[in-house]
Amino acid sequence: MSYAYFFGCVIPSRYPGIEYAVRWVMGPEGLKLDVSDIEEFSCCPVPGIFYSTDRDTWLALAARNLCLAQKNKSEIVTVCNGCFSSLLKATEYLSEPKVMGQTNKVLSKIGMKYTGIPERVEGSNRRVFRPVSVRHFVGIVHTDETMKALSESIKRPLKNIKVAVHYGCHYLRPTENTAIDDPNDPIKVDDIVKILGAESIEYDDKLACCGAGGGVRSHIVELANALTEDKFKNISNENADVIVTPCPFCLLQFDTAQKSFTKRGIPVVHVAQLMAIAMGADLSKLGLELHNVSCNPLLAKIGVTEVSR
Amino acid sequence: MTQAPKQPNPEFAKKVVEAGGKTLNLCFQCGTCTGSCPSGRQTAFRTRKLVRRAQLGLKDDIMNNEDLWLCTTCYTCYERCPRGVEIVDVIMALRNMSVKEGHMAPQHKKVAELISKTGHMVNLRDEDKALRKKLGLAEVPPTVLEVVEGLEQVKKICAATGFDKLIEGGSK
Repeated sequence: MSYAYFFGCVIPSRYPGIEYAVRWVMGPEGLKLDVSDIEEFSCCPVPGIFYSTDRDTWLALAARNLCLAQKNKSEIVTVCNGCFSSLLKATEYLSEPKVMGQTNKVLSKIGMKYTGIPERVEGSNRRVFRPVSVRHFVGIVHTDETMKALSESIKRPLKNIKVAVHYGCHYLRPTENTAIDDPNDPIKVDDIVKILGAESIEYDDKLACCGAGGGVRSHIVELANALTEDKFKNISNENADVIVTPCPFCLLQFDTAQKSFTKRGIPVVHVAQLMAIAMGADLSKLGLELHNVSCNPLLAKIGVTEVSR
Repeated sequence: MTQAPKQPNPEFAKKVVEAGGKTLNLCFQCGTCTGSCPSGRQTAFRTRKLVRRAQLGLKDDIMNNEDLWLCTTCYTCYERCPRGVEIVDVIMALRNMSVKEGHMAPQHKKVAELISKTGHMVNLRDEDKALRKKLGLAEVPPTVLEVVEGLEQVKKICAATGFDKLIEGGSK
């Protein structure tokens, strides 16, 4: 099965270094996975604001993205918890025939139809349709084979680096449709961090929300920042060198909120960026200088040259 | 002077169920949701009360109330609910209904407009293009930002569902 990149909105326009990192990590210089671009994807669309505003439109736009992967017979690789959650939830809604029918009525205006990907049943002429597969970058990396390849490709081991992993809500919940990790005791990002040579620290309320979701960040930023501050205090208490998350929206929140409550910032990076650092990617391509909280103390501790800001 | 008791409105409650809150009536008001809510730690938002108001159909207490927009959709309550109430979906149904009545925060309207016009919720500025180029990425991402036909499809969908009118403040 081939994979199709789905970068969403925050990564390409605000943190393009994450896009570079993901392409490099998954590509020929990294883990050598079969991933390509499908042109014409749009916003997933963003679950917080769009699903809140109008479920039918949210679902139709998500279904359009799914149709593009369906045509290409690809599994979608999301690199953002929001895209992951939105597209996955859409496949769940679309498994109800009535909802699929209503959505396809809208899609007929643009000549598309969501059915799922047809598959022949072995030993018969019957076909079944299975939903378009929506994957998370972390779930794809965390297989025995890929983790082995990852462990063999470490060029800059992250010795003595204390990492605070922040999973983000939509990686974990709702469990009935995410199911990529243990929702109460997730391990996959921690495992990746450890393979890179770093230490993944424990801290209070590790699974709590960053505060940004549900349209709260854009509407009532003070509330979003107050929730971030709560988490930040727990992370800061454990003297973390870096906050690592599989979600660019949580990253954006941690990276921008910190200035509202602390002068002693802790850098925030996407798990793909941390992998790219450890795997020996060109540091000037990871966009680390774009992060509001300087990543230089982290790079200095790893023992590599800092990036200009 | 005493306040007149609030009148339940079963019709409204039924509409919430139809709009996506199909598990609404399973709630037996234990309060696990309130105890789990991160926004509830910071504000006076009480998830259990919102669900109760929805069950009773107390429309005026819900529709134009800021409480409805304090949920970060973290799904902690949804996971912990002993009755299997899909609380976030109930809240989303209520938000959809509230937007239809013309209540939409200007900031949310701005994001919604950006998606219906550009296909993305974050705008691609000239400086972003320059940065992408510097990193060796395509200046414009290979999405509807680049492919005009794709953007036309997004616009057609937003017109077909009545979304454009909805975010202008009119009803669908």
